[in-house]
Amino acid sequence: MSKPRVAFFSFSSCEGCQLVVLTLEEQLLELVTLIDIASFREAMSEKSDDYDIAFVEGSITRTSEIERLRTIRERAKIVIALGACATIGGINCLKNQFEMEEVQNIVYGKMAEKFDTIPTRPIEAVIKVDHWIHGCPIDKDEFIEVTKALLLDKKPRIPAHPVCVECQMRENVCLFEKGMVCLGPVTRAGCKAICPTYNDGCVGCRGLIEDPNLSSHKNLLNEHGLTVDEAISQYMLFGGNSKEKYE
Amino acid sequence: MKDVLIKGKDLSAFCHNLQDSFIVYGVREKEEGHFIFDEIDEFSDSLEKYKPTILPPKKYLFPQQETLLRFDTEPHLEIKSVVESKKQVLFGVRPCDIHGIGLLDKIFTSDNEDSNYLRKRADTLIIGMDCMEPCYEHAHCASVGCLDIDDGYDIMMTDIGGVFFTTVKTPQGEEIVKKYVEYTIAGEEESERFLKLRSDRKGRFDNKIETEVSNLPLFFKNADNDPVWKELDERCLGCGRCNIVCPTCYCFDVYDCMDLTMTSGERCREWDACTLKDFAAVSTGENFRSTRGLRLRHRFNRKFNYLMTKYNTSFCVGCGRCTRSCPVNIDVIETVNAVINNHNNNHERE
Ligand code: SF4
Ligand code: SF4
Ligand code: SF4
Ligand code: SF4
Ligand code: SF4
Repeated sequence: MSKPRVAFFSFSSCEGCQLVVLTLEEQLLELVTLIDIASFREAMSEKSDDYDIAFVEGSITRTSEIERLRTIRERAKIVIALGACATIGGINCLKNQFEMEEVQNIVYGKMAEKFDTIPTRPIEAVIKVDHWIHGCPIDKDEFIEVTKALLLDKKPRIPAHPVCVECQMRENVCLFEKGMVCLGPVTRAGCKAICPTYNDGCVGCRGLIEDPNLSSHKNLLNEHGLTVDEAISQYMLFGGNSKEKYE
Repeated sequence: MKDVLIKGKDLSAFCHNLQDSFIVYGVREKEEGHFIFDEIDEFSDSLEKYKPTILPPKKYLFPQQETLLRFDTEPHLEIKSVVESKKQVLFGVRPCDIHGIGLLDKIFTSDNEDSNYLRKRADTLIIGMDCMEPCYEHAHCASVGCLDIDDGYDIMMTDIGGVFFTTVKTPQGEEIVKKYVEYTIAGEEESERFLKLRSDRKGRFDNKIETEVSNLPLFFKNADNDPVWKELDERCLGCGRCNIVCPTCYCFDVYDCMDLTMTSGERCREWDACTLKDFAAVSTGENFRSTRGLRLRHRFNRKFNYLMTKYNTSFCVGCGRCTRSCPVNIDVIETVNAVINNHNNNHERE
């Protein structure tokens, strides 16, 4: 079997998820015995348009990005959304709460007319996506899990349950019991509950679970002192692309 | 061995000495008012009054994640079972948790023998610490018959005022008492004081369940359409915490994890939880319990009906952990009583 050719692409993002891939170090060396890397701007200068698997990082925020993304889809057999920007639109969706013209003016000032901008969307709003690696940034182990699953032609084992499961397995004291708030009960796990483990509320970077009980969770946030608007603004940090789900 | 007395001040040395031959797990205050079982090298007095730990000590017999076997596909398929186990002592386990372990013993031996659990269990000594009053507002051990306990431990210590009246149940228990701690044989006066204290405590543990616990399967058999499940469906977040913290939940998921060589790997298991959506989903896409309410109904039936009928004992040991952990205050006792009351009201109407 010839080694699959893998390429990494970046759209609107901080490129932190690609950086996570680079920090795999030893595992990365093992990985490159199984795959050929065709394109990885953060790691190497050569690039090629011949690839089987495309990892796509970043959200779509400009019209020019749409065309570029479609080309990637045409060339790749498998497309994987890499990180929150690509999977759910991510923090870039904060922009969607404003009029686009206003955003252009704030960011580019006098130059505003020279730069187009569109409401932020995850890549699946533009092309078909085969797999999702969630998180801001992604979890190393999950990246490895998905890559191995692809090589074995198996379904990756990605949790569908909320962060609370991992949090409780680590025997953390729940933040709600300490007067803090947390989006863990409605957010997809896989990060090993890293934020609550370090005493910080989950802000939902991995996106909603499939059937979140948002009305009950909103009540819970209210009981812990958040107004409705404050609760919504918590959700909007990462959930801006699907505002209607939260209302 | 006769009952013995161990002085409170000697517990620390006991703990310390045990470390010659065992890993000793005891209670540590992780954050103010929140306790966990952890490897300890000292026994701290303040912990005599600890509330149930966040996770029960079952994690040392049936860990959150565990490797079951290792396989290699090259040069030819080779499979080896993996059982990781070390001699361990669980120090200061409460009656509810001892009951919990007793129930897991039944589960992991009755239909299939679970060699990983059984090996760990055989390597484990349990030093119990009795409770003289309810540890916190969610405790309902006495209501489900899990406070008084005469089995399931190696030794059991009861504070009878500065000194621990200690019942030695097993030969292994006898060995550790003789080898690792200073003790004296209990006299008649102490035995009487112990019995009196034990009978006096009854008045401090009220019965919180509004029926005989043995009636519960009957109530639950008829509770499939109880309105309480609808109400819980609206409130429950499906977060799984009530399962994860429960000393008698034992469901797990099995999965394979390949090494990066792609020729070898491990088969592992991880705790699962019946309140999670995926739990009863099958590969054709159906889900037998698609709503949170149905899933909670199932969880309650497991504790108070299905397993209770099969093994003739409550599968809730009354630790109150699920109630304490539930972010939206779904209370095990309130729910059980709602089922009882709705049933009784229905009958009056008929
Ligand atoms: S801290 Fe957050 S993630 Fe952890 S158990 Fe509490 S709500 Fe769930
Ligand atoms: S705890 Fe929440 S915000 Fe933090 S990494 Fe996990 S999903 Fe993201
Ligand atoms: S059901 Fe709740 S109270 Fe009963 S044993 Fe489980 S966690 Fe404890
Ligand atoms: S629930 Fe009962 S047996 Fe368990 S620690 Fe509390 S008082 Fe003791
Ligand atoms: S802990 Fe509460 S909210 Fe979470 S699954 Fe259990 S009952 Fe539902």
